[in-house]
This record gives sequence, C-alpha cells and structure tokens, in this order.
Amino acid sequence: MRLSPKTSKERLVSPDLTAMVDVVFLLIIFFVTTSSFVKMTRAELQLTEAPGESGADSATPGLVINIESDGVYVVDGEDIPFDRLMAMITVEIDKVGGDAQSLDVVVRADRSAGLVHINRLAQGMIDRGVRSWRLATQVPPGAALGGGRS
Amino acid sequence: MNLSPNAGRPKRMPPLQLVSMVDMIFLLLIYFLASTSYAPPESHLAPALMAQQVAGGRAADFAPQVVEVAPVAGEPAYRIGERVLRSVDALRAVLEELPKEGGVFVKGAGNVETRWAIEAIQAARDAGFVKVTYVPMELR
Repeated sequence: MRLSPKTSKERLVSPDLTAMVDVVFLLIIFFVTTSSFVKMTRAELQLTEAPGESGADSATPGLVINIESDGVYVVDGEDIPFDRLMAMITVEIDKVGGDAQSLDVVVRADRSAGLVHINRLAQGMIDRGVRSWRLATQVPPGAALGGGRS
Repeated sequence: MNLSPNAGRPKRMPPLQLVSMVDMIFLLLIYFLASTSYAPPESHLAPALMAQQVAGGRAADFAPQVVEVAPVAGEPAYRIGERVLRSVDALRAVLEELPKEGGVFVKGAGNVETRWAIEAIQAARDAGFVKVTYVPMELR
C-alpha cells in the first residue's frame, strides 16, 4: 500500500547541455580573440619600471606605437617605417574628425631604446598638432597601479 | 494498444557527465590564469608635448623648471640649472623643493636611453608637479 501523497509521475528535469556548450564556446572565442588583440597591440618590450600616474589609463588608445630596443617602430605587430608611421598618425587624426588634440596615442618604448627614436616620434606628432600622448610604463612588483607619490 | 516493454514505466534520466565538464572548466581556468600571468601590469604617464623652439620662447609669470636629460661627462644625468644629478632619487628630492606653479619641462637628448626620460617624468609627478611637459631636444 503506497502512502505517498504523490500520485502523478515525477517530472524528469534534463540538463540543457546545449546551452552550456554554447556558453563555453562563447567564452573560448572571447578569450582567444582578446588575447590575440593584446598580442597585436603590445609587442614584447622591457618597459621602464614606474608606477605611472592615476587617471592616465582610462581611455582606450586610438593608436599604440611600440618602439623596440633597436629603434624599430611596431604597430599592430608590424614593423613600420617612420614615414609610414607619420602617415598612419595623419589617418588617425582624420578618423577623429581632424582634431589632433583628441587623438590618444600610447607609446610603448623599450627602456633601452635610444631617446632619439622617441624624440623623432614626438617631433613628428607635434608637427601634426598632437599635443598629448601617453608613455607606457611597467608597474614595479608590489607598487600600486598609477600610484606615484604625490 | 502499446506493446512496448517500457510502457507504463517512467523514463530514466540519462546520467549527466559532470566529471568531464568540471575537467574542462578547470583546464580553461588554469589556461587563463597561466596566460594572464605573463602580461605584467602596465600604467601610463601622460606628459604634454611641446616643441623646443616654442618652449624656449615662452614668457610667463611663473617660469617652468627645466630638467635636461643628457650625458654629462659621458654618463647620462639629470641637469637642473647648474646642478647635475646622477640618480632619480636625487632628482626627485630637488624637484620637491621647487615651486610647482610653472610646471616642469623635461628635455631629453637623443643619445640617452628612454628610461632616463620616463623616470624624470615620473619623478616630476611624484614631486607634485601637475604640469609636466616633454620637449624633444633637437636631433643632431
């Protein structure tokens, strides 16, 4: 004699594996895409160790220029001659409506690269009306991000 | 008329392969943890840019301090006026004593390494200068 109040058949809940696999694949695609983006914009450089300044990291850069230790300019993983780099900056200025002041340029220079390469780039940007830039630094171990002494 | 042998019995739920799912999640977790640890955290310094001739000819109530980064006696050094400083700590200490209103210009000579100029800019920020301007020295 069955005394359980349940008289109807228990409903079976099957796990929706399709949705889970969808999410996992989406995550994989997202991380693979973003990691390749980081590789494209960031060359492997030994940056100068400095905590940087707070508030300088907020905006997404319009152009990331890497300068290797031998002075080669690298943009998106490609070695760029100086003349072509200047042409790229001009194109980027056009993209932001011709206002060079609003172009956000990040320069990632190897710590042992000669300053002549930065000076050349800086002078080229000044000639095109760019007045602000960001110099990338590597945060020293144990230091707070953007946590320079004030 | 249903002649199936399972007629009238509840359907059995197929077992969920939780082990393989957890394996995959842990593998992904380990992969992303390992890959992110290779990218050291980066920060930025944002000095203004100014051409040398403009910087030299500007007249203002508060004259900016000028830090030159250039070789002195064959070794890179920081120069403020007549003072020659060989370390960034010494530079920071001197900058902390200076008036901050006019800002500071960091002029970099081409024949020193990049890190000297960036450390000078960082020292100026650390010393409390809000207006820090980088001036590329003329190419020789």
